[in-house]
Amino acid sequence: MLVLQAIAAASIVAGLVYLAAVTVAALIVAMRCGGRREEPADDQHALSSSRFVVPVSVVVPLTAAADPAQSGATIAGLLGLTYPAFEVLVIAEELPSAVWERLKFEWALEARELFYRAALATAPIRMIYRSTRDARLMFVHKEPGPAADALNCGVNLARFRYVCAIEPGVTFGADALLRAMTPALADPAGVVAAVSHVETGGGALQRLSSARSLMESRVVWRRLGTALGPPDAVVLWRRDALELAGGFSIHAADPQLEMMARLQSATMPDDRGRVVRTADIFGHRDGTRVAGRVQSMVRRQTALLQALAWLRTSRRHRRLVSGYVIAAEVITPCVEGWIVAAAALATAAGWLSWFDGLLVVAMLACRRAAISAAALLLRGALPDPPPDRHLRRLLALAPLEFFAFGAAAAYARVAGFRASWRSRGAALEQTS
Amino acid sequence: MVPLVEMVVRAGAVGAVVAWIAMSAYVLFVQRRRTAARMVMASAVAAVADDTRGDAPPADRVAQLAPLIADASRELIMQAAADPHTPPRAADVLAAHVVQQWGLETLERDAASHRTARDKWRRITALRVLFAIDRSRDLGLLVRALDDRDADVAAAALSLLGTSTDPSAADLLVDALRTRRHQRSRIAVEIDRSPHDVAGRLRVLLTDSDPQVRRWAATLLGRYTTIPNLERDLAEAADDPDAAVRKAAVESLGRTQTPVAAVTAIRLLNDPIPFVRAAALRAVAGFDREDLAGEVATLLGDRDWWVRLAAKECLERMGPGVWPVLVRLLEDHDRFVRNNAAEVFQNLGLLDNLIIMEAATDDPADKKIDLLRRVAAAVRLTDSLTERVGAKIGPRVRELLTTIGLQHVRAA
Repeated sequence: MLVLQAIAAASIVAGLVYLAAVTVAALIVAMRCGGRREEPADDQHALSSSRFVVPVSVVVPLTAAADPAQSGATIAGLLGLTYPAFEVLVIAEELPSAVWERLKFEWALEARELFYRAALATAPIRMIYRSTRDARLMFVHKEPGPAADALNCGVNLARFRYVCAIEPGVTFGADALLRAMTPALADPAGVVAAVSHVETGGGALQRLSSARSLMESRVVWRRLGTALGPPDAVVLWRRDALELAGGFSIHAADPQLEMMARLQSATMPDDRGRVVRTADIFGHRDGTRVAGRVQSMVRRQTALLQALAWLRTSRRHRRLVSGYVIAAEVITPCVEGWIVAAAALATAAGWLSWFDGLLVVAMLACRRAAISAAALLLRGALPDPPPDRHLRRLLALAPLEFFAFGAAAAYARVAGFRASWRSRGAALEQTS
Repeated sequence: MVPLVEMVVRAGAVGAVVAWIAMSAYVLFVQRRRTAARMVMASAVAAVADDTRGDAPPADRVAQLAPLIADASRELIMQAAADPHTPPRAADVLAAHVVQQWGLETLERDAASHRTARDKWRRITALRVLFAIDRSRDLGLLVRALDDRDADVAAAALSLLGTSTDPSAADLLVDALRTRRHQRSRIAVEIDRSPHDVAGRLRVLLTDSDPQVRRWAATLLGRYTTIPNLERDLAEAADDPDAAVRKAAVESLGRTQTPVAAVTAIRLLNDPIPFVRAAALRAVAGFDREDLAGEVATLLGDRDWWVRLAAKECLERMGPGVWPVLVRLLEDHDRFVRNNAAEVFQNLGLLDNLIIMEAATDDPADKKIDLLRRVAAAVRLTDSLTERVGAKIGPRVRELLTTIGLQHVRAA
């Protein structure tokens, strides 16, 4: 009994020391960045009017689940971008006929046969429509398939060198694409993917999670020289790299995250391609409900593990990325979980008082809240920071995140591990 | 267990709570300072913008502004002065205030070098303010910035050189193009928007030993379409051993619209490199010469997809007059050629006109029906066609297509 007690005590103390070290390091790095605003050194106006800017094909996957009004707003927003050369390809699946009729009227769509290059295998296309209202806009009515299938269809039809996918419901400024393309324009030969954030609105806790993700981009990923994207992102892909990789995997939990890892893996003929994760915010989207959020957490966890399997194949990325991702996504949550479990066990066995047991949980909640506060410090340096009243609310609610989402996050991680274990190797087989 | 764990837990809990509260307080403090600073600068900018005394001496305006921004830091005022969103008149007054308050030497010192990340952004801002005050000022600071190892500082210097009215700024940019220190596409953007004529210097670079330099020189010369004999130099560059140079040369030649350009572009339609052939096709598309449709049409069956796409676009730009060439291609042995020709037929509106006219008659001409059959058999054009013609004519068109056995024709 004494041995068990000693093990529990030692593990709690060791875990707390580890978490304290991680927290202090995160706070110091965030304070050193200091929330300083970093304007682009390039003259964005010069780039936006230049004939040397690389054109982009923007793919909008549209399903029956999308809100028609939001979809319309996203398409209109895209056509209002100040980027000098781009096209918009809406890949629509299973839309009710009323929605189709409305779209045809709204965008003056005209059915046109197009002889395109099917470099990637996808579900068949039923009809292609060109907009007579805006020559840059094309709608594709295809048979239903997984999310990756719509992306691959967009890549097949894309005429330009860079391709990105933007979900309906994302709102953005007119210069969003130009900002997102900055890393690719600086080094088009080396950058195979440039990742920007999509900030999640809605509830306070989702905003905190979004802010932490931004902090991670600014203080961690920028220094690693390689990258895995955040949960909500817009990625600009170099089309030739996508084709070389065989397109997005329909088996992947997150096709875009898996592709990022695959492009940096040793399976690519030229593994010098860089995936750049920026701290730029492409746009915003509404938050999701709790059930949807838990689902997306499970998907993210599965996708991260699938991505790690790819990155392990590359000597260049293995140590840095795997080390960080394992520490942030596996070790730290496991340590937190263990401390809570050990404290509960110790309390139940009478080795620790109820008061001290509660203090352990409160400590973990405040630890995460302190990191969230540091993330908000950095978020304040970017355009459109949260207003004062909102900021105070976010800071005050930050400790509740651990209680509100701690159990859900633990479930998501376990479910993600299980899903990843089951589907292990499927993606590798598909591409090989 | 109890004493040690209790001690660690209690100390840790206090530490975590203190960290959260302290960090939150700091965030609020910083945010409040940011908001206050933004408000001060916004009101100062608004005051300058609202100033109706358009002819007031600059010194008077600076004096009027000074009390409004008395508490603002130098860095903050410099940022507002260099911000592209600040109205130009307000930016001028803010820059004048910085000079009056802290002296030109301080700005020049800020712009000369940097050590920390914070210094770096101040340096970039100082450079922007200095060159906003005087666009023709001495370029020494920009030369130093251009030579700096930091990519952000060099990028800021490049963009300032692109707007400088000093003719030597353009020379510096052309020199930068020859070195491999900076991204050449970025330098090209600045040369392209520079107010100075650098055609002479770029023409010399067409014979540079570095193919990348020759390529960018050929690309940038596309801006100077009226310079005598330029097309001769570009035509020579179109024979360059480097494919990227040939591509750039034919693209620029396409802008000159001269007979030499047309001859060169037609020659490059047979280039061994696909992207050169595609660039030659785009150049031909700009010449407004239907008589070249035959040469272009042969590339509808090119082994490279992007060349075929460029050929399609080129024929579409040539207009409906190319239909006799397209009709011949509908019987080509190559499926790609047949399909692409049919698509051009569709996109030029020829198919629609043909079918609508024939659908309107009770006795469609055999020759036209035969042509229709050949166009529509190439790709599945009929589904989109019946949808496109609309509800009024649609049934008649469908009837005609059924009569000739073409309804629901799938890809060949």
